Amino acid sequence: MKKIAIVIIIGLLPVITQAQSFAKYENMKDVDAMVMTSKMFKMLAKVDLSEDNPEAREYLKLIENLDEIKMFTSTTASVRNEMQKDVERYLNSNSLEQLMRVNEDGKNIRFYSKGGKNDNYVSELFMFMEGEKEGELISVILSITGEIDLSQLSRLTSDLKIPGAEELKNVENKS
Amino acid sequence: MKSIKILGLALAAAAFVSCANEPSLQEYYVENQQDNKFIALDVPTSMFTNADALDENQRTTLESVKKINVLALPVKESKEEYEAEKAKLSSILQDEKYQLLMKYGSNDRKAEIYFTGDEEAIDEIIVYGYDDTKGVGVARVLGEDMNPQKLMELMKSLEKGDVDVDGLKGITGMFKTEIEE
Repeated sequence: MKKIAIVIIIGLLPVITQAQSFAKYENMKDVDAMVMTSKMFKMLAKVDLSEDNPEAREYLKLIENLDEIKMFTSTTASVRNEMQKDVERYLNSNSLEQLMRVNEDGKNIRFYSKGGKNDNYVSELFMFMEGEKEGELISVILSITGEIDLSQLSRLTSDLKIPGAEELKNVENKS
Repeated sequence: MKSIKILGLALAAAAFVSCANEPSLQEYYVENQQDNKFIALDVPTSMFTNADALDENQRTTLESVKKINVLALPVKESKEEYEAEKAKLSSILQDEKYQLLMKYGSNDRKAEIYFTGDEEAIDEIIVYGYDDTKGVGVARVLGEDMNPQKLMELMKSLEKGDVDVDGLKGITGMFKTEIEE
């Protein structure tokens, strides 16, 4: 029995460490954390006020297929350093592809994605931003998971006011 | 007033019977609503609107929302009490029956939204928040099988009319701003 348990745990380790790599930021001091769960998206998707608006329908479809959105922001040096290390570790141990890099207004923004069910979808959009905002050094980690429709992505990111959202429009057009 | 108190007691009795051991938000509310240090508000939704103006569908939807209650402890009462109540509320909300919708904040200020029941038949919508400079509180919209879509339709049609739904608005406003984009 014990052996099986150990094997299972070792098998699950990569999954567990993935899930946990940023969970600690949810309650960390000096971190602004935002989490939206799949239950929220399902509920939003059910509230269908868009019968006559095809654009809104598309958007609702996108929202319905989102799993989770997590965003962590910090201006504290020690946390920012930790974030940077955690991000590098995360990128190295997962099959994320770099989508694009943007340098705008003193901010360095990198977008990564993990493939989804086909070329038009990604299963994760990951963003890491380091830069300066209103005179302070700031780092932002953003992770959106689910079955994300690339063509709707820029709409979602600009609604969430994610820096670099404008540039994402260019990514859509490429694919 | 008295009938509300009796209703409150009846609900408490029901709660004690149904959830024997795990502390629940309802129990927490009942324990503290009489305490002078807390601000407690308990409003049945029938007070918000003029039911005659609604059609049958809308009336059923409105009736699914039973009441709204709010419990808050200002931090100026005592920092230790504030921390203690914050910890109590946090741990009550860890129970799996409270399903997290969203949370936002940082060390000294945070807001969290939960619900209980099923996504299409919501029993409670809970907004929990704290601000180290202000206090901690929890607001609950209580109902029976509340359907988010029907609620939104009701809100929409009520807005067109001349009815006062400011109480409901605050809570469901969250849904609306997300969708209206």
